[in-house]
Amino acid sequence: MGVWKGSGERVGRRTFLGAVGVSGAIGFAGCLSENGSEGGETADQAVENSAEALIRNGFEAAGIDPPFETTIYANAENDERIRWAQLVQYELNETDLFDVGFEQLEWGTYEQLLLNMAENEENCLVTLDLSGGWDPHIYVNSLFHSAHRAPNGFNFNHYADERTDELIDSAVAESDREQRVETYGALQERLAQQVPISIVRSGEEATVYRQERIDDWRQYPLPGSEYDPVYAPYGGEFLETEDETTELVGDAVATVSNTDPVRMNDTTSNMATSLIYEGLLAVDFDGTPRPLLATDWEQLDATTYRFDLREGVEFHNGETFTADHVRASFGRYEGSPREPDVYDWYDGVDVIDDTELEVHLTGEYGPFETSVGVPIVPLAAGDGEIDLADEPVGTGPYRFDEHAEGEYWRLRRFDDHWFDGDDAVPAQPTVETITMRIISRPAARRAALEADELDLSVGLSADDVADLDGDPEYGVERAATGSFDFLIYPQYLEPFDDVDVRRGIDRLLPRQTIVEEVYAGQGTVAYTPIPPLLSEFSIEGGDPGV
Amino acid sequence: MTDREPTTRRGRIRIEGFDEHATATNTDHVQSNRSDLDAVSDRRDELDRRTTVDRLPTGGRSTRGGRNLDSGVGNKTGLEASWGRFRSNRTALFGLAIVAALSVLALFARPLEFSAMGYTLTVQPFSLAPYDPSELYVGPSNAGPSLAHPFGTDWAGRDLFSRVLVGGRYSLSIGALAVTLALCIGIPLGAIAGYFGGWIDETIMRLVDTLYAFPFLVLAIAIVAILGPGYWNLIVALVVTGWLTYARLLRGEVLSIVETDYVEASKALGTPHRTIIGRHVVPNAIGPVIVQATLNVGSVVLAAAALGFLGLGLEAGTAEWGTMLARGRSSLLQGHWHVTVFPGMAIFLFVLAINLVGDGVTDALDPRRETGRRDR
Amino acid sequence: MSIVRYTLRRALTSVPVLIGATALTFGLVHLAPGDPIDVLVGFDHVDPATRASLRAEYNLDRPLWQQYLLWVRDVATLEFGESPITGRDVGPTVAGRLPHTIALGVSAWLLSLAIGIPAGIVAAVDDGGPADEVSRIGALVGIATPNFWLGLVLLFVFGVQLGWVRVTPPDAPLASLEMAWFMVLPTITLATALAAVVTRLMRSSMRRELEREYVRGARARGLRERTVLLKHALRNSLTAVVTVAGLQIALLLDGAVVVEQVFSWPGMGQLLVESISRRDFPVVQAVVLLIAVATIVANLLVDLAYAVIDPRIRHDR
Repeated sequence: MGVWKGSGERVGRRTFLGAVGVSGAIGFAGCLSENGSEGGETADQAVENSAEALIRNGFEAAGIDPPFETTIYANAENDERIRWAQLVQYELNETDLFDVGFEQLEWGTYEQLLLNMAENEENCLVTLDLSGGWDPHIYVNSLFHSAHRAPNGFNFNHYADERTDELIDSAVAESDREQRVETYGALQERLAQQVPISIVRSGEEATVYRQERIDDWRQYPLPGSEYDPVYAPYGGEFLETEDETTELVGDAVATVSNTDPVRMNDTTSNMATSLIYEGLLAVDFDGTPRPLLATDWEQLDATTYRFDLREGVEFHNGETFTADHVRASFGRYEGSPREPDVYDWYDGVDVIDDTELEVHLTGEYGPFETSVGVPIVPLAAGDGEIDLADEPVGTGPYRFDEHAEGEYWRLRRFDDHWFDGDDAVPAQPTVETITMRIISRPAARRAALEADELDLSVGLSADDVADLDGDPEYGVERAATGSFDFLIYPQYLEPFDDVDVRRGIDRLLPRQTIVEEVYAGQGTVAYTPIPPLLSEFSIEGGDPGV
Repeated sequence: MTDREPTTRRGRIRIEGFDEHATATNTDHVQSNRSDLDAVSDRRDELDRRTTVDRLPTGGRSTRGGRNLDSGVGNKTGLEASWGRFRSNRTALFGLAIVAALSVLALFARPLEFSAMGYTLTVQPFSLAPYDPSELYVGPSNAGPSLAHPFGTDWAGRDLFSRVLVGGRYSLSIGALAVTLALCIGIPLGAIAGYFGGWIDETIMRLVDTLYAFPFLVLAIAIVAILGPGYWNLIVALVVTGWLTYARLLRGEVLSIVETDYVEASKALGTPHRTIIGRHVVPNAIGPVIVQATLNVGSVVLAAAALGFLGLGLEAGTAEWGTMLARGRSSLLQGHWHVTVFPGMAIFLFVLAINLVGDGVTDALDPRRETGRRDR
Repeated sequence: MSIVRYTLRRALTSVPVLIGATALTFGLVHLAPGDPIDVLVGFDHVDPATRASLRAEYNLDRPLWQQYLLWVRDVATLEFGESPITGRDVGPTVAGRLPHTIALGVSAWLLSLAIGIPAGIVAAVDDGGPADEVSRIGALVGIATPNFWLGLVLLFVFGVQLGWVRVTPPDAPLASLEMAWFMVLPTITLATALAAVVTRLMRSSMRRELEREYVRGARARGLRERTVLLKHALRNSLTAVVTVAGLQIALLLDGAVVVEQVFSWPGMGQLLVESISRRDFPVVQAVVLLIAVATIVANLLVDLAYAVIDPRIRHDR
């Protein structure tokens, strides 16, 4: 099972919750913690004492006699989350200030708890993780903006702070990068003071591959694009196989549920189609927007962008790519489940000619360049001639070949792909077919890799990645990703409404132990909701709350 | 026979000539003709009571049509005789010894305390388990068996030996509670259905049939998915799916007892139905149900473990055997075999022992089965 | 009573059960927390109008009883609707998984008979002897072993350690040698408990036949022991065992849910567990209903077969 919430477009505009399993959230080794693993006992002790003092203050203010009873929750499908929730439970109980129980719910029930916790004033601490894309807006908007109080977003504990809302709103409606960096800096500081939730760890993506089959692998940092390194001209990447292998066999953590871009709601479907669909722009492995179906673009004014389109691009069904395809593809989002992907900013397209168009925005939009690359689909999809849910058709280097429900998903090289080759990437992918075998149990993925039934695995648990890392048979490729684990406080409830209590707990969180014990040393301890992946925006690098 | 539609009549099929006689003599009130519709039900019972070897649907079923009520298990001498037979059954005693040992180990694994209104009452002060089962990092994580940790430790450095010992509390109490509660539903409903017959019987048995259309685990998964995991929710799921067998079994038995002259006479004398059911019918019909219930303790423990394996059992941290196994799914591949093997062995041992006891009870309750057979 | 009348009567009693099963299926699925539309839109701030129109598209805006009736109407025509989550028709989705579960179930069923029947006979003939003891202990062990645990251990030993079999299903058609080889372990895992049950039933039913007058008579007449066993006792006890084995479908399906998880087998059990976590109501409904109907129909067929074999069943009047 995998993440199946929200969108994970290659140029992921939106956040999604890591519901289940291990998808994505795998960290990297050897990354030192920021809160001083060398600090020694005394420093730790001091932190603990100050933390307890903070909590005691809060308790006194609320007239609460310790221990305060509450419950920490995790969902049954996510093994790592269950474990770190238990570590937090243990740590809080050690202070004798809390009497924390632990409960584990099946995802459906968990979802309901999350969505209704504030409404029902539940006395609960909830653990979760969230993945986003290449723009900071994605991470903070849904979690902290008062307009996104659950169930209309991920602001589960109904945190409402005017200053926070202001900062979020002004940063998104600003396309000047420096200005945005400054605003997001201020926002992160504000959130570090308020601690509506505690960020615990920032995650990592990892791929483990068999050395005998694969020479080298480059990890795409965001979930949903795991197989892009096979052939990504936009990022200067392609896969060279060891032997003349023309078939690549990898895994997928869940069934491919829906491959129509306007209905896609899980990462596996994104992953299965990311080599099939292409957008106007693509964000490369370092987060820089690159031309894809557009050859060039410029911002004409605050709300208008002009694009030059690539010529000689053919769809898998034979259609030739034109500006009309762009307009039709954007238009399909209206009234669909994925409507906000486009209609949050999209006002309309002026087709100037077949190879030139202008996109009009409803307002100035900071994350535009990382959002505009939604899949461009053939006109036949709009006419209802083809059903993208059954058979995805795009312009990408691979075309859909075969899907055996619950068994595998297969892509075949598209020989008429537009790319002519350059210094870094040849005109044709070396791999002819890519088979993603659907294996929902983490242990089975590892077993399959070890039994040589897979060439690579994108969905191993952190433990397994660490285990195989030392083995010369396997190559392990990791990249810090845009995801983080966090703890949600019931800040609508005494004593959690007191910022001191939240800050106290925040300091007690055994972040280092979680990273080391639960995630086998992978990922990094984290404090702010903008992950280090977005290095320009993130102020990660210390506990700003202290 | 005339007062019922054929489709609604439920009785028993008499296969031995003896029953033909009964049919002939009790034509009116007694549901002597065992309806065809029950054939499947009874075979289903057969299947449920997997190990109850001697109750086959065809021909093998010992009918109790005209039996003497005094020979039922409700009778003191009958009980004594049964116990005597059970006592002379070595394998059954061995099973009982294992169950007893596991129960004692579970009970004395950690002290039992009840706290109420500021007072703590220690019911049981002993502590056989060397560590607190939920205490983290009492040893290194995922360490194999050693002197300090005979069963090794799990991912959080918890002592597996202590966890397996204490885990018995969950598994054993789930087994016992789920079966007891299921009996509390199954026995009254089965007795009522069998005793009164007619639309009451029809309603209850159709409900049973409907629930039976869902395989046990499928239904339990659905219930846990709705209620969420947790000790009591798990028990609810196991009870909802568990009472069917007892109701159906007891109903079948009751049908044959209702036919007896004794019950007829009691009815004629105006004895309240409740008294007849409670005093005469149920005690005489309950034997097979007890056997079934004993065996079911084992299958309930297995089912709870299977739900735990699917992540639908108890909370992950709980030291319940099945839940511990669920963690073992990946541990085995990571080379931490002990995390999987020891809880698995505990389940295996317990279910095996329960089945041995169940066999013994089967034989002890029904002396007829012993003829032509040696000590089992 | 004629067999035709019996068949009709027996089939009629399945009707209320069938109706009950649809109601229960529907009820259980809709009691489960979670809204498929929430899942569909990824919990995002979707325009309320869009939300409402999506809701209407899947009839989720109607009262529950109307949804139920609509569903029953569609199901009656084998129309299982479209899944809001995948946008695909539920029928083909389920149908794609069905052969896998059937293949696994049937092979496990056959294996359990192949082990259970001979073992039961041997045990019955050797009443109380060493072979009886061995089969009895073997059966107890089979019953007491948790099947998922057995599956894990088998997979670990033969798949991972020894490398004799694949650990995930091969990329081959269901009816292929590769697939058959892969199915060995899941089949053994699923068949173990069943074989134990069959062994015990076979033993007891055979035992009883052997104690009957006609068998004793046959022996007294000097017929060879082999003939007595095979011609008389076995035939009579087999009918019992085979009809009971027909009812094992419920046990098989239970086992399949777990075993499919262990062996990554793309069958109904896996689909069920997946769909529950995805809130894919129409799929869950279809799978559960299919399982229930299969159980009901199997019971019906077994009953009829039974009546054909043993006319006393329907002597009723």
